[in-house]
Amino acid sequence: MPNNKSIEFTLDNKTILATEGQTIAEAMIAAGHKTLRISKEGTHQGVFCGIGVCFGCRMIVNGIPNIRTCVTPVTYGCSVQTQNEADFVNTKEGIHEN
Amino acid sequence: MKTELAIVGGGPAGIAAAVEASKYAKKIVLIDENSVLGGKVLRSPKVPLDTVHSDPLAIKAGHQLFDEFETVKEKITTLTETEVWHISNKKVLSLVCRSGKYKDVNSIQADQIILAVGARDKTIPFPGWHLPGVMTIGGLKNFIQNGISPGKRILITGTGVLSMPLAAQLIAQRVKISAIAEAGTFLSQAQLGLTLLMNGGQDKLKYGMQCWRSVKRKGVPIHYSHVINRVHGSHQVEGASIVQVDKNWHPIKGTEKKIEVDTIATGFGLIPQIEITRLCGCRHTYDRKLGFWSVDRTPNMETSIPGIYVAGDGVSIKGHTAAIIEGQLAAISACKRENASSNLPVKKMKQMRKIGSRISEQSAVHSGIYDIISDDTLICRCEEIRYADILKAAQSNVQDINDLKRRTRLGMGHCQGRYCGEIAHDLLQKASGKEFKHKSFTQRLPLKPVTLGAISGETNH
Repeated sequence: MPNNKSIEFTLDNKTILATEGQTIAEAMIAAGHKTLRISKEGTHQGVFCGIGVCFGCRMIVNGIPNIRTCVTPVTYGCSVQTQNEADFVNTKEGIHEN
Repeated sequence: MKTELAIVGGGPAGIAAAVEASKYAKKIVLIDENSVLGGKVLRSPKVPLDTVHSDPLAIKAGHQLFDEFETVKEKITTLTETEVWHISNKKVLSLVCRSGKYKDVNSIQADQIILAVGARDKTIPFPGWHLPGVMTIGGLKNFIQNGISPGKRILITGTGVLSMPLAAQLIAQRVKISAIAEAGTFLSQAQLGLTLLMNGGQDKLKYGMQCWRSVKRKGVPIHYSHVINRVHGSHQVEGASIVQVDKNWHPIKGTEKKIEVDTIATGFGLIPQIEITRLCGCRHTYDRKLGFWSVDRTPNMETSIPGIYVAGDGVSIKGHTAAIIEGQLAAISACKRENASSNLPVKKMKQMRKIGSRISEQSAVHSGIYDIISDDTLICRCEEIRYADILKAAQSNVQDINDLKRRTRLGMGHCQGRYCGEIAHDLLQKASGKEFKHKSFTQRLPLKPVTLGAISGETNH
């Protein structure tokens, strides 16, 4: 890739380096981080389709859950968190993160 | 926003349609959900021509297409990172634009629409297929194409013509392939070569042979008539087993072999993504031989709904060469310039369609493969519905797959049944031992999950 400027961002509060133009999922895989979400039943899941269809790679990005990381580019300083759905609780207002 | 022509999908067909339409129309909108145009095949305009690890035919076609697009792009409004979640019968597209200067746009009124959303891998569940480290062949290819390898030891399993190119790309990037487990026979692969040869697909055959030779040279074991039958590991792939299958792809007892792998690429050919044309109410037909639904269209690429056109692999599988020509044809038709179509290489398009159909026929799944599914295999990855849940529902007089969906939540998760929906019919028949009329899950809006805010018209997401 001709464009190889590095950008810093955080994964679960740890600093990670990505290359500009990469998707978050690409940066995750490049960093060796495979489990991107854990389901309510505790099943680990990660990138499956890689084309924005399966939602297996959804993570919490800048505080917003269910972001498909395979179609979302890394931006400087963005905060990415493993989406642990066991932490999601139902409240009167809807589903919130614990 | 108002436009003469809205094109959904910025892959080969969509870009070609936009370039062609720019000759006739003043207001054209091109929409894609990724941050760069190119779609699944071309992916990115940045791939250099001499890249050894990708399909040289696609890269060459891509460069030409992107060069043409470059000369007309001022005339085209391009919305990337944009999800179309509804198209009304008045041709109003509802959308969510996630970033960039069109972030405030949430609907577009179009006079004509071209839908060119492409295909996805068809997958068959196997025990452990939901674990991190299992990817589709197309998905893994995207990562490899951008120089990122998801693993150190890869198993490629499934059927179809995409395994060898992926293997060659992995080899070029020095990634070890533990094995290729191809459900089809060597003979079925050889027949495909003959089809290519006889239908003007010499360049594709040459590329396929190059890939095959690089795999042979590397000494990668190719197991024909074999499929994966389980993944080892509890939280990610730590190994896999493959098993020999008979001519109907039933696993043969006592033939299981363990393979050392950390990553698995799986796929059983490609299927058109018809959710968007179904939501528009276009007529579709199920082709038993090809193994998928495709949208009915006229020779001019118009669907059964006037003013809605289609192009590319979202209609039927044929590859980028024909997709580009179909995109041009759809644009010419949508802009009512039928005379211009006499310049198009229609013969090439028809040859590629024929080759595509043969490839799809060859990749059609034989029902014996469903025997690799155990009771606790996840069928719906999103809602975590297991085969045991389908078996249970099948005992109580299920009417069809929509009834199955209501009873089990199969297909009610984030992907909206895009993976389990393809096999729900076959699995319901297997579980109940009864024949059912072939149906799809009822298509409803939104096409992709969106927030309630987006539906209510907020744009500050």
